[in-house]
Amino acid sequence: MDVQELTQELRKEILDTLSCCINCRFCLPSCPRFDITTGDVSQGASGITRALYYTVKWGMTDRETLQELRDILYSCMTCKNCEVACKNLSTGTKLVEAIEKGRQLLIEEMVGPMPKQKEALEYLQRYGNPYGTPPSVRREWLEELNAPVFSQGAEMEVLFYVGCTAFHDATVKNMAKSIIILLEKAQVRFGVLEDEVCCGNPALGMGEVGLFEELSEKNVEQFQKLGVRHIVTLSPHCFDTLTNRYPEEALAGVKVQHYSQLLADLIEQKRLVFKSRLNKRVVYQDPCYLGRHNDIYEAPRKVLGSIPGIELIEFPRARVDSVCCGGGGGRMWADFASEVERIANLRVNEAITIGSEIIATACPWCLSMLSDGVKSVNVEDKLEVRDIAELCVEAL
Amino acid sequence: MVDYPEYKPEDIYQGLRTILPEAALSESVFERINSALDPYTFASDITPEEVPYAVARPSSTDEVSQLMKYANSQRIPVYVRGSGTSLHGAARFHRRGIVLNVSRLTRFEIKKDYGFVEFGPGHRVIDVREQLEKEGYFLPLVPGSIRIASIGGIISNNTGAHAVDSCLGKPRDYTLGLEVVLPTGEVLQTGTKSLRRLAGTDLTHYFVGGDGILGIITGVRMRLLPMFKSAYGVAFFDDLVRLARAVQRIYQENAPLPLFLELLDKRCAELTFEIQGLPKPPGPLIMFHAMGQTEDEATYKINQMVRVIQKESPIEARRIDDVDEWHKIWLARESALPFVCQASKGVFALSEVVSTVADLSDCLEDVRNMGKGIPTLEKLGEPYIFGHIGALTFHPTFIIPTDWPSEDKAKVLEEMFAREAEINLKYGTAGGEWGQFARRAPFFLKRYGERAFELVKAVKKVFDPNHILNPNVLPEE
Repeated sequence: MDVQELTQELRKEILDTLSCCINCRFCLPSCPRFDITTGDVSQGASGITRALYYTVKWGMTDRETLQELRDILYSCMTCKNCEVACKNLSTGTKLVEAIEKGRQLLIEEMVGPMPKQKEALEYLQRYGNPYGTPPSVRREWLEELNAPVFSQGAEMEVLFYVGCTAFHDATVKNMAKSIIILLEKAQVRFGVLEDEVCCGNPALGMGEVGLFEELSEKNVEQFQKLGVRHIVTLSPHCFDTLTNRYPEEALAGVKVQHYSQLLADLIEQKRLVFKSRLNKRVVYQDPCYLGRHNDIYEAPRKVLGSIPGIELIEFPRARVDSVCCGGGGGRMWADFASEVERIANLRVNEAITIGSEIIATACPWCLSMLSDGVKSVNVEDKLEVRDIAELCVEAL
Repeated sequence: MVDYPEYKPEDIYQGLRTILPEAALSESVFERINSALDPYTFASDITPEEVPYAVARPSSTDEVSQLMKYANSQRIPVYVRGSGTSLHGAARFHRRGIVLNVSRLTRFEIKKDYGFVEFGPGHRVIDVREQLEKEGYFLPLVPGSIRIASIGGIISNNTGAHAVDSCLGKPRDYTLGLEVVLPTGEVLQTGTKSLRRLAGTDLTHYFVGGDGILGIITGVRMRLLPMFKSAYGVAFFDDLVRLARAVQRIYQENAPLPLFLELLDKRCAELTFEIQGLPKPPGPLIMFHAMGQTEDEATYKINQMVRVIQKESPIEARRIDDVDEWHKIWLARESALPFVCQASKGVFALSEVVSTVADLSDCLEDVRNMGKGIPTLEKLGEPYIFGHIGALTFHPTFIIPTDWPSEDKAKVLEEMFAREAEINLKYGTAGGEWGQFARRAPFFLKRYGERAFELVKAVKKVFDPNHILNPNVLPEE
């Protein structure tokens, strides 16, 4: 398909998907992005998709308008709260799907993504990760983590797919380290990839589908070469990408789990037992791509619930109503002038209001965004942000 | 036909910039497009020529006043908008102007010592309700769009929505006074600060239920209504005729009147009960909610209703003691519209038919046959029927496949609103929720006659000599 055919196809798909939307606006109160802007309807949920719809429908092509659309379209965190509201209250329009197609269209039109995201895409192309971490650094970190390398014939049952963020962010590195400690403790025969490349999620989120396909092919090739049958991901985003976005046949017969699911299984099998008490009030932040996108709400709570001493409390908006940390949909690499607040700060304030001492999460981006939020709100003396694996290690 | 001068959007923006702060203005093309849409845009889409000049979101009464003075002096139409959820076309306009969005007019103060609450029009209804409930009060209006609809539009339409008028009354019955900006920019205070309301002329009543054509409500003073105790009931029937007769009996035999009494026809009930994990309903049903000073009083009322309903030999009629069961049944009702849309893979055309007590079962039969013999409507089959039958309102709903051409979708709306008008005319009623003008102006003309319509237009002219405020709602001369 040439570029013209592709863009025509995308335009048609966008109009088809959005023809279900009736502008009822029931999605708007659920949109966290709308909550952090000054209240322009076009800055949230179906206001965003209507901007896309009319750009396509009216064939608006001038650069200035398309750039305005870009700044709206790329601001969405793809948290899917709007789709849940639409399903429960209106016509069930696939708003996030349309936004992703809109981003793909803007890439083809050479308008997207956002300037900082372009850099991430270049890094993905050059280094196989969006942070520009050179392979040598990654290898050094792997040595430091003391993680076994997955190899065929070594009777390895699990491939631990670490993802890119652990090699870029020291907080997330500790998350990876904790998972490794837990897997070893539970005597799981696991390994990591020596030359892991990104699952492609950031490329997909930014609409660079071609690059996503390249990365996914590399990964699939590696998985197949090594005879991988069971993948456990650190990140919900990698989990979602491998589970829902890779071609079904490419991973046929391969079990893909998020690490919280594996930990819950290991606890169930009594291969992981926590003996130390953690006397803390803990609230769990549902990562969007674990919860709303994949309906995994219980496994992480089960893990936290098995740690003695933890008092597990809930956000007023939890599970399917949970609020994004602000990092999804490529937002780790983009800021927008139209925003007057950070979502993570709002979430941190909510955690303080309900008397939580720890926000526990199971996503590297939630960990990073909410940790920044705690600093920004200046409540480091009252509230910590921890990954559930780290808490588990503390309780061993 | 009123002629308005043509302007360039950038000139209007510059003009507004001299009187309003930058934070109150948007010239973004996408914000302007979004501010021109309503829930029926699928049938009558906007064109680039209809995109408003600018969107203003004033944060004070003074800013609203300044804006109106400017617009009036330049003869620029102003379309007042909250969330734009109107189902009878009040949020839809066909000529350019300024959209005045009230979403930043959100003052809120409960004055317990006086017994009232004061609020701006820009709050979502649910936010007002939650703030009142925290203090032990009930907001006496319950629209289905409670999550998104803004309260200014509800007051302008004087709608209690789900609530049974004869039990609770309408917002007008609770509104003690208003602050209003006239189309010419002057600010009016109406009503009283006392719970003793005015006898004689009270300008409050010109604006509550005034369809938004006479002035812009910037402040509302409403009597506080203490929270009450509740009890619930449900009844299933073999057919809709018996169901309607049972509701008639509640009125005719002077049984206590419910706060809510809702209907789901069999198709809607089967679909939504399954989704809520409830047992398959044996037929169409009504669900009802009574309020009382005490639980005993509310329970007594429900028992009395059940006793009267049983005279129509329902399959089952009973009080619901399990609040979780009630919530699921209520959710089934609330989710009827989305789930019939999704099950039928289409968009909805929703109408509002109002009956008298005496004609309820005949009217329901007319509603069932609403599409018969009507060229486009008939293709969609019998409408789904749900609604506030206790308030004598039905919402017959047609689902239009999304892939129908927009001309056919428009035809459905046109035919449906015409049939709605015919049925309401037949029974001598009028819409009880969505206002009387915009798409319904032809009905108003038939229902109340030319003289009445001329009088409304004359009143409009007194308040709005240049016909700039919401000119889409009241058709131009």
